Amino acid sequence: MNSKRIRILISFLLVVILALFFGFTTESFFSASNLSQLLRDAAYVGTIALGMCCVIISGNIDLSAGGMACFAGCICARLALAGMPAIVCILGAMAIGAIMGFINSLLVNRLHIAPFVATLAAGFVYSGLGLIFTFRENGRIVNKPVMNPGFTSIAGKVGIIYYCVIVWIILTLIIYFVQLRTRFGMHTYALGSHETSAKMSGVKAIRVKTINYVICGVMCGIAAAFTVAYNNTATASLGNAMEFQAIAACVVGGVVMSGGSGNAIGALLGSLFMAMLSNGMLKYGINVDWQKMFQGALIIVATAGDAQFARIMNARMRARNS
Amino acid sequence: MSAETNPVLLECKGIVKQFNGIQVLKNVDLDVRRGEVHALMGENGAGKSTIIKIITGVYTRDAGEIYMDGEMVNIQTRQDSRDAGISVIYQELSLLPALTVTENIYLGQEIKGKLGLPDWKRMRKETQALIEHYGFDINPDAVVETLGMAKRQMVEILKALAVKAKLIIMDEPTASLAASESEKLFETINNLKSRGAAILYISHRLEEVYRLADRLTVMRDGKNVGVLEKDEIEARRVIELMIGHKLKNEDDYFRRPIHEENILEVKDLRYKNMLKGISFTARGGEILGIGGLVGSGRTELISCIYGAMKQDSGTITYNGKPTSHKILANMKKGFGLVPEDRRREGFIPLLSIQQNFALASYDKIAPTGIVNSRKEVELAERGIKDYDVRPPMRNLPVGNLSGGNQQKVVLGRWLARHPNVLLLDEPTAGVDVGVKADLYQYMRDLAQEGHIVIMVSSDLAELTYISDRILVIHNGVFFEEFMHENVTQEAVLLASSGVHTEEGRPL
Repeated sequence: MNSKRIRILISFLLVVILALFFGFTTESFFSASNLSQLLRDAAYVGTIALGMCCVIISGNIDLSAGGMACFAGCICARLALAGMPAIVCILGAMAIGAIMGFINSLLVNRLHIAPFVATLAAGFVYSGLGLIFTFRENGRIVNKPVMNPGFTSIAGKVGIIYYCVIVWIILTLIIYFVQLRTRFGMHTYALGSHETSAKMSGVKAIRVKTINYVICGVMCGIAAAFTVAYNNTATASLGNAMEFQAIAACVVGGVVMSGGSGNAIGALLGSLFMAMLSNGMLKYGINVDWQKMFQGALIIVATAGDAQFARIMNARMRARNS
Repeated sequence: MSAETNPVLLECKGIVKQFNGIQVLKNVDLDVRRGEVHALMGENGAGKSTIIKIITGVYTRDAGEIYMDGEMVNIQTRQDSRDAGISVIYQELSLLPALTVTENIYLGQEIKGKLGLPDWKRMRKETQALIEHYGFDINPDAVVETLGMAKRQMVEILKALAVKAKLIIMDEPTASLAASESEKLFETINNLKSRGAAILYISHRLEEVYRLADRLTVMRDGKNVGVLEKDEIEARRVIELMIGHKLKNEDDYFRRPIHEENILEVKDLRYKNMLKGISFTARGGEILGIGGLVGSGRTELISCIYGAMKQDSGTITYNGKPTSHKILANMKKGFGLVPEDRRREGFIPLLSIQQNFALASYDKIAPTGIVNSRKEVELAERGIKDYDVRPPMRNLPVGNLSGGNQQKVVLGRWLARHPNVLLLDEPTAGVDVGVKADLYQYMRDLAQEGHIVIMVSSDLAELTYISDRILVIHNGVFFEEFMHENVTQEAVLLASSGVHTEEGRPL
């Protein structure tokens, strides 16, 4: 078994252990309604984390994910309010996301701004645009219901599983396939782990980076559309700090920040882990402020564990070769 | 001041160094006198860098003694070497581009003022004094990244002078300099010498050595094979010492048939001030060697052919059609490049052997964009078998392989495509003898199939052994052409330094 599979297995075991822990120590963790809610939360972070993992693997970062979700969500709500069918609302959010992702890639590729700075700044712009498009009455932001039964029906569920969870899992599988089984996917790994060598091997660096940014934008659009439908409105706090949740999920799932390794399944497991953690802590009655601290501490533990894991794997590899 | 009568400054006696049981330095003696420029020459792998690294404390010697001014010094670390008054200026300068000249000079050795804080005013004054003393043309407040390469080197030298170095070691100092900048450096060196500094000067370039050196030590196979005084320094003599009497290996050479239908033509190629009108034709079935000094533009030439760099003018045509400036387009036409620095450009260390093989062949294993897993595995397994990659585990990251096996992957992933034009830049650098023989065989097999093989190499034995024809670059143009039958290592080296030979055909 190679180190990548072991890493995914570790993420998987973490999720199982955490589930069992909360399951046995709290009463309602495994109840149908809680699981349903938990998965829905996971799908929200998870869809964004899915886009994020593509960008991170390509050797970049996207700090505008929250801003993109906010703006795409507000546009989606406007479309819904205008009585558009659900499909148009979702496609609209995806299109806006794609455009924002493309703008991010232009900032990075053409204007040569460091990805961290470019997307941080762009994120401000997108959430600012979102604010402009929120619903207002007399200048004050209100949570106006979109009143579009066609659109809000996408927030429904099959049994205990929300549609957004199904979409999230399907998207994860698609992206996973793209990452492992397509030329584009392999080019992304090559670029993220070693840009110069990748270029010398014929990888079109700019194109690959651009597509990954666009994927991230589209994922934010999808996540935002489902959230708007579920909340039945778009608020200014939509997408707030989601980029950090998504990055955290990626890191926990074994996506290495320096690029070139990790995959969509890891991002899925990481998102599940993050959602379970929030959910379980609520069950313990730990309030939101403390939750943040726990989440932060866990990310530190995860990254430190990853670094140790990489060192052990390297040492083993060396021992085997000598 | 005559150098012969000067007292000896640095003396190395019987230096021995082993790596993995292989002796790379065998009892080396070396002495440098005060007030002299002492040149150190030798082929790649002769042990020049190793002895320098021992003197500067990067490596520790296994045996031998080092004296400075007649006193034994025990150099174990870089700091020991600095304390003994030795400074080194490496090929890749070690300056921090965003800092000023003064800041760079005093970085890590700041003069402390009140409260123990660095006293930049005083350091600036000291820098100014140093600059004036040596008559350099440099501003102590200039930010280093705004300076040209020659001035950066001056800053390096000032850095050495600021710690009152007695011996300054320069490792290929002109490698990255333009001709006019080199002139400035030579002035500086003469200036330093006249002030009593000793300089150990390592260079491949004979012309420089004639001009600068008061004495010259030649190394070969880890030994000091001769010390020449100024009036004894002469091209043929130096080169004979460098090469020794290695016999040409003729046993297994035969000329392969030429395939005229496979032709690469380069016409009047110009690139910056490196290439000044290069023209040649390479034909299928031929292994064309490109010789010349390091930094003579060889790498730029093949990078232009591959499409990794864009020439300023001139044309490159393959079978009558101009080549692209895009790597991918050329790859599809059957071009492949094994770059000089495999770590930086050749392979992707995190990715597995399988993925590295695949990366060069996605047009074959993923024509629709979706990878055919069976073909991908097949490609890797065949590659591992054909090119004898060890360990034969296709999922192992290439970064974990030994240097020789990494190179087999780098070469193999191109060979697996049977490229019409394979470009190789120092293909056997850092590869052991057994692997070298394998790599040569792969190159010959490819040529036998009627493909074009173009190889840049600094290893003269390799260049003269494997090439059917050798073109030598000097001053940005092809200077001489040699055919396999009558080439000698001496002749190639002479041509690299701009001396015409009987063996070659002037171009």
